[in-house]
Amino acid sequence: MKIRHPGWLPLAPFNTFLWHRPLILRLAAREVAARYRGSLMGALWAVAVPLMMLTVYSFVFGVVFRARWSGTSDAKDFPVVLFAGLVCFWMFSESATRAPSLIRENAVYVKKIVFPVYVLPWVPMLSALFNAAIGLGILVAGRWVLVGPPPVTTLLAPLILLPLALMTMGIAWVFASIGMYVRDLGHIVGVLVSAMMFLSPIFYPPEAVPEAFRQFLQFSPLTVPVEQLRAVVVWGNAPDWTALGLYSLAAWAVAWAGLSWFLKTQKGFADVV
Amino acid sequence: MFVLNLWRYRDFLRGAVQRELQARYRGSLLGMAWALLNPLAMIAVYAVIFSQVVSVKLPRSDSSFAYSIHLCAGVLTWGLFAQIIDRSLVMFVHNAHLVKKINFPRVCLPALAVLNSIVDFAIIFSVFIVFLLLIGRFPGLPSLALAPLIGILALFATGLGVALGTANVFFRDVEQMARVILQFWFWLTPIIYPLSILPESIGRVAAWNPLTPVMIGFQDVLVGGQWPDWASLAYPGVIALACAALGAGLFRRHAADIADEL
Repeated sequence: MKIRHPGWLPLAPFNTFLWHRPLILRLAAREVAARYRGSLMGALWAVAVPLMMLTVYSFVFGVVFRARWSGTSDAKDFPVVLFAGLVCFWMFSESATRAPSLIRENAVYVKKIVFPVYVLPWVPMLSALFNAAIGLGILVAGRWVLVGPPPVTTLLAPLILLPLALMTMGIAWVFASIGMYVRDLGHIVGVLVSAMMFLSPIFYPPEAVPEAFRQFLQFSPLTVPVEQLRAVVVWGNAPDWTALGLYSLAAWAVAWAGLSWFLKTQKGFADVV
Repeated sequence: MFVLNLWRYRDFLRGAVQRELQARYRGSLLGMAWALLNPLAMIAVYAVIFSQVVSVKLPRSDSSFAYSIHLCAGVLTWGLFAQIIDRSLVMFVHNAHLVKKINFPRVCLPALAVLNSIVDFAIIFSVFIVFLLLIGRFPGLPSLALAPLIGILALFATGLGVALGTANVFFRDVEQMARVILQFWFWLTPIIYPLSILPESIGRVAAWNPLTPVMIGFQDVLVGGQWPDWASLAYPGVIALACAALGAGLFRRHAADIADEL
């Protein structure tokens, strides 16, 4: 049996998923199930944990630090605004932090069997997407309770999360590959991801950042999705199509480059595992 | 009594702590530096965000270093507290193979969780102290108060950690729950912000948090260079002792069932 090589065409990142859909889905389902095995509340934790974290952050940033959004007059929708940012951040952080140790954890697949190693980063991504879907459900429900019925533009939410998923996959392929050769990468990524939570406009509006630093926010891969998700789900505005389009193109390019890098370097994995 | 027993295993414990350190940093380019970079990076991020973007006002902002020192005093000592609990939570669950061995002294697992955390803390805290000496803000004599403060914090964490780690063997939900509660706790303790910025109603609730007086004690010593308010430390001290008794009691009563359950 031979592993199908995704090649170097622009569609390669999508093909890695489409060709191996059943395999990826099975691995992801196993991972999600393993997380809640042996616990009393089981999958309820998937809903409870984000809700509890939202309570903490709304308290700290809404009550203690009294962060304010310029777009809104009152603080009623603050938790929803915050949560839109957190949904994006969690989706990114779950796959990015797992990536550096991913291949080593699955060393059996690299050494023994004929296995398309390049699908491995899809597994945490699917589990992250599963959690993001739950998060989106909570977000819409919260918007309904705190502000009012969800706007029609809510339907566009997947259009904003999918480019983020693609961007994250590109980064995950690079991290997964480098993580095989450089053990420190796990530490670096841990620091970077925790820093990104505060260096992206999640807890504060971009306008709160002093002018001189504001342009740096654009370097965070989270800034565009966070702001656009807020626009469509919370404020009921159409997304900024130019920003979203450019971001999607960039995400595609990053995914393609990440996958190509991974495929180029994966020959050496068996030696370092 | 089993605390005295630990003395018999001191060679084993020392070896295990050394191995853990070596294993963690072997094959890594920067080695031990990671133990420092990780918390320092977070402190830098907090410093930028909370002083520039969210603008936290400190009562004692006499110099540009004051907020950074305030952050270090809280974040580093909180790190010790959280790490002891974090490691104790999974100490039995992740070492099932050891627990099942008849001859293995189970009391060594909590001891190792605490020792490993203290080693990490000692590394980073001594760097912090050197930094204070260099910029001439070392608190002098009141720094002696750090020992009882760290003692209360470590005892509290150990008691809670052992109790939770034992409970986690029987109910795996404990781990999920504890991690969320630790996040709550971090933000509800005056670590990033001074107690004075809390609205009055919430400030009254925060006073019940046993970690509040301990953190304020650290900040008094390290930021203000004063002795802590000893009377306020009685409450966390009593809670810490109670937690230690609870942890020891739970562990002793269920030590035998742990191996069966795993």
